[in-house]
Amino acid sequence: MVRNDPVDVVVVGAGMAGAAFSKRLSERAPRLRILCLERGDWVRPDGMPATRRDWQRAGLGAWALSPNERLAHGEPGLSADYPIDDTSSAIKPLMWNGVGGSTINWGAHFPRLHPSDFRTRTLDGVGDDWPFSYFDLEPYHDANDAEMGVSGLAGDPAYPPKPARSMPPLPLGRLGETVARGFDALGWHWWPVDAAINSMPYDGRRACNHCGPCLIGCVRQAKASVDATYWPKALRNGVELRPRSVTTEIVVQTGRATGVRYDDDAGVEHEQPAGWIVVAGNGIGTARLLLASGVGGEAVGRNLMFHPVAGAMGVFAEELDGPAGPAAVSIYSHEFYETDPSRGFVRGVQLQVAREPSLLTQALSAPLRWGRDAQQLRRRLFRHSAFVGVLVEDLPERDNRIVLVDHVETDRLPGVRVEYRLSEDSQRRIQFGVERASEALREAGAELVIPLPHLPEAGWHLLGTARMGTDPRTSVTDARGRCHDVPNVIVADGSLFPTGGAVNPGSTIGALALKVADDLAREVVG
Amino acid sequence: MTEAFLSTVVDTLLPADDVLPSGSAAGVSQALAEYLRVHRDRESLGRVLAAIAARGGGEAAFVAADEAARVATMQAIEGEAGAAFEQLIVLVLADYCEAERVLHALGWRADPPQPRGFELASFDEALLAKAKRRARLWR
Repeated sequence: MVRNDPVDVVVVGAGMAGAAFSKRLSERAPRLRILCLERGDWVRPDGMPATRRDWQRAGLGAWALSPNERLAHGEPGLSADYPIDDTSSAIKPLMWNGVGGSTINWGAHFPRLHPSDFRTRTLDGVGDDWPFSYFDLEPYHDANDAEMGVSGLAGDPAYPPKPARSMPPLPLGRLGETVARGFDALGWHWWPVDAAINSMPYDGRRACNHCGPCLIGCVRQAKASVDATYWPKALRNGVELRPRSVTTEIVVQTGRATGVRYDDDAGVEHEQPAGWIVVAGNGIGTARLLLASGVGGEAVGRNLMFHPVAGAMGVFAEELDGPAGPAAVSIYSHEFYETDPSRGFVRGVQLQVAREPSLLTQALSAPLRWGRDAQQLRRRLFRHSAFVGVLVEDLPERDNRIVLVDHVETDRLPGVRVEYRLSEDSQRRIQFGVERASEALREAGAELVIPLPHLPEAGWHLLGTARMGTDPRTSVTDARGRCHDVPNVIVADGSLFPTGGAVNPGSTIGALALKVADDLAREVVG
Repeated sequence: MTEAFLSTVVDTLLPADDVLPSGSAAGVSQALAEYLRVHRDRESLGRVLAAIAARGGGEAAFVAADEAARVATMQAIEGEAGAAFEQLIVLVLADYCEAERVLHALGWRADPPQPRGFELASFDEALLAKAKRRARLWR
């Protein structure tokens, strides 16, 4: 084993949280020696598949959203994946393991939680309140927005006032405008999304040219991924990033962490002494490392929250855009976001209009895939379909969790299993949301509406497995992300969420990481 | 496997209509033959094709059968072969959906999304007139 020189702070994971944390701490406490260990590597934009004729099938192999699918593809991957046993999970987890984390292949929809999401116990008697409010986090959101670059429009009545967005909204497309007419006709709220995608050049990155497949990486870097936003600045600030370095253990002696052990890409084990260990490996990776290290207490891995996804597809006589425009971002409706007890459940849903996928993705997900009727359906759908997605709030449940299994994977960490069931409440929210999505599409003029209840291959959002709180029996960290049992181990990612709201969490993960960095900087430098 | 058999399998899965070319016309059967020649996963695919031939009374009989009979054969194998049939579907659809003739038939371009991208009309804030009149929704 190689024993490295000590650092002040070691960060595990170079995704959204690790990048935002590292950059912020390097500004707030410039004398600290900060080292980030990342199991994966950099991804070069010029190697992404959107410039190739076979780009559609890239999503079936090396650029599949699921790490299990990428592993099954069998070739050495760009993403440094580990298998996840998801056979006991109603939702299949998705992630990218490399510098940039899942911002490499995300849709970059960048909404904030609502203020009510921080107070679900107080307002609705479910979940748990966050240890701070929306308004406490607001300045960090503003800072995170400036770093990532947000296209959008201030003034959305679904939110407290926000500063002017960095750039104007992205084009809605005929698809977005068509569904917006449906929302308007029903008197429902809609607004152009906040997107972490440049509608004009921003911070040295080019504008989006609406090519479509954001989920196989952005060759123009118009989509904000933290390898292109936070990391270059963090590195200039002196943060050291070691890719291809798999952290295998947090070393703890008498209640205090002394550092981590990691394997480099040559398989050499290193001991890395550090004063603070910051874990930012997402809701599965973070829980796996904490569990493997015996850190965090009995709540580690529990209360896993996804955002269950469903939706409806409308088929229109008129021609829409086809697979053009940034995949996941156009407009959304928060008409049904807040609690209305008359619906038979508390908390709510987001309706989100997504662009048409590639012909291949559409063909593979269609209800008919081969034969004469399938060909007819293909002609009818392509360039004529619109998808209204339904993203529902998923409240924390102790038995929805990440557990270790009794074998060791090739990365020398224990294997991991997801145990997750959809609650009856989540199912009610899904059903309600699918009915509303279908209603909007019909009102927008769809000739045919196909309800799509519960899409299991949509586990992008991995939240809650090292949640903040005050009771070590039910939470893992305090409000500053510090583990109750080993206070110099800090969690900085989506694992901290006590509840998850019904919006995409990337914006909140980034803001939270900035706050955690400031909390540490205040203690270290005063 | 004969070229005629592979083409017939592909065209049963992807028949021509008044807009779309058949799978074989789009080059899918040639791509399938190449896949069977070189790819490491070819054995399971070969087995499912052999099962189709066997269920159809042999390659020649399958080729000679009418469409309804071929579809019935394929449906039976789909029910029995599971993942291997799925592999066949994914493979032929990938080749078909990337074929220039297919994309052009659907009014789409065949070159990749980048570097050209696509033109979309800029956001028109006037569309929000009604939405802007909404009272505060957040709690």
